[in-house]
Amino acid sequence: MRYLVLRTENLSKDFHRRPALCGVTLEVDPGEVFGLLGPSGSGKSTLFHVLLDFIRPSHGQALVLGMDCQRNGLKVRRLVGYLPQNLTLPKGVTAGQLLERFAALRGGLEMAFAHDLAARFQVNLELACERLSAADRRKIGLVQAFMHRPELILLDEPSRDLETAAQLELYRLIAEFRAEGRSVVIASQSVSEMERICDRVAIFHQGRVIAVERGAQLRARAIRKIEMRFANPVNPQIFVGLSNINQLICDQNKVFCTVQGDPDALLKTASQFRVLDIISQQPTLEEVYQTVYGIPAYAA
Amino acid sequence: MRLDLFTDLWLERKHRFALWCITLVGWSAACALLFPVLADEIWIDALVERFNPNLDREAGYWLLMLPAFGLPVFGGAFAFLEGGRLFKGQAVRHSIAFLLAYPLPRWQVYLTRLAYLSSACFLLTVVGFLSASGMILLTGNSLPGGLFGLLPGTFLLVLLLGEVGVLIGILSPSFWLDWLAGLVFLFLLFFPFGLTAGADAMRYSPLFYALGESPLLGRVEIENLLVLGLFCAAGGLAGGYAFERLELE
Repeated sequence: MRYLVLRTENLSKDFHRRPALCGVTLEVDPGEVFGLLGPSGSGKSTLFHVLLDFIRPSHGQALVLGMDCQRNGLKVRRLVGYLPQNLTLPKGVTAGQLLERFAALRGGLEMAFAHDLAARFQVNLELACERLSAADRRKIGLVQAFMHRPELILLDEPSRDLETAAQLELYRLIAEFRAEGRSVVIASQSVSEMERICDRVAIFHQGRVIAVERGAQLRARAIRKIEMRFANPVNPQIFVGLSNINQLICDQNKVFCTVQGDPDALLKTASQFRVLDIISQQPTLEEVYQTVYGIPAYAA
Repeated sequence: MRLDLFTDLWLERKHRFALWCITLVGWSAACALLFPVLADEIWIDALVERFNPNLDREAGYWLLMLPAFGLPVFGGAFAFLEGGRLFKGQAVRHSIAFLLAYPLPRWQVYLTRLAYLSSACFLLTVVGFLSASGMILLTGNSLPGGLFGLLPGTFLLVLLLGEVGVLIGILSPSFWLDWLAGLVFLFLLFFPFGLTAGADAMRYSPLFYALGESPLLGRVEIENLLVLGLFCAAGGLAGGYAFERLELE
């Protein structure tokens, strides 16, 4: 039988008769970066909470690193790193002291790797926790999630509040862990983040997994809003023939459109003219759900 | 129990605790200031008569205002609110969940919080008794006999109120329900003493188990303390069971 880092079978959870998870079945392989994409309240964090035994499922089973996450909760949590969505840090201690406490809770870790991670994220460990910015608090959360080199890392909205440089550092770190054969599960509302770093992505909608897509598939189906400004007015007909272009609007020397997948053809066509500016925007989660899956992301 | 988490809790909550200590000392000071005015009031006589007819007015005043009313109300309010705050509220629940993401058994987290609550209740009770004694002596009065004999019972009573707070904090997300429960509990504490039915009604009040059948006698009644201790143990276990089953959404 194939060894799976994470396996859930028909996992369901109701809160006050309201379903939070409905029959979620997922499999994560060793060395895989797996994404959970969905709007707020779609069940991503609830799934993490079940895996860490904060809450008990109404139905179904979850195995983490081959162990039942309820019966072997302690062993599971020893081998798993976790970054919560909402991180509350205590007052009256410095970030460095806090990391030492986290290390002590894991039975006493060598702090060298934690300091290395803190340096990579450029977080000042001398600062008191109450003086840390939202981004720095998130970085401390990331350091504590990675510092014991866990087999599986669960990250809930990891790049929220992070500046671009820290986001890139996080993606590099995830790639390094992946290369070492460790697995990372990321819950996020950001389509671009998912398509950028995940091998596979489970799309959540109202507690259900409506699709599991490969990262490349997601990239191919990704929709971008493009706005181009030319030096002179252009003939819109030259863009009409492009197969992956939608919602084309031409306004004298400006062209607005959406591109599904690769924008190569559009750019090559546009390059016949003098382009002054080009803006590419990621679609919102709502737009992706509507255009790709034909459903609203948020419950009515 | 984990010593590091216990220390963290104390560091985190030291200001709140200090505020309650100041409140308690303030109450003792207010009683001392009001002594010349209130000691001759007729209702003080009536209350002393109801609680213990054998006491003289002066000792009755001090015992009524301090260990019978002051400490159970202030200490109990602190314990009840603090007990609840240790487990309720979104930020607290998030930090508990974060702790539980580490390889810590739930009972360890619970016991650490209960140990903090017990130590805070004990310290507050001691502060209450010491400040009360200080104020009595400062006003030129003598300490009522057996005043410190009431300390163990008062501590257990305060702790019991704290455990009720813990239980409600774990079970109820509603702020108003907590307050309502606290007020009902404090009312039940004194209500049986207001009844004329006699000693049988007193047994419904935890105050009877804390301070004895004649609460102002200042004598420790071991059987009563044991019953109160059993209540505390049961409260601690009930809280632990509720925390073990708590779903940290």
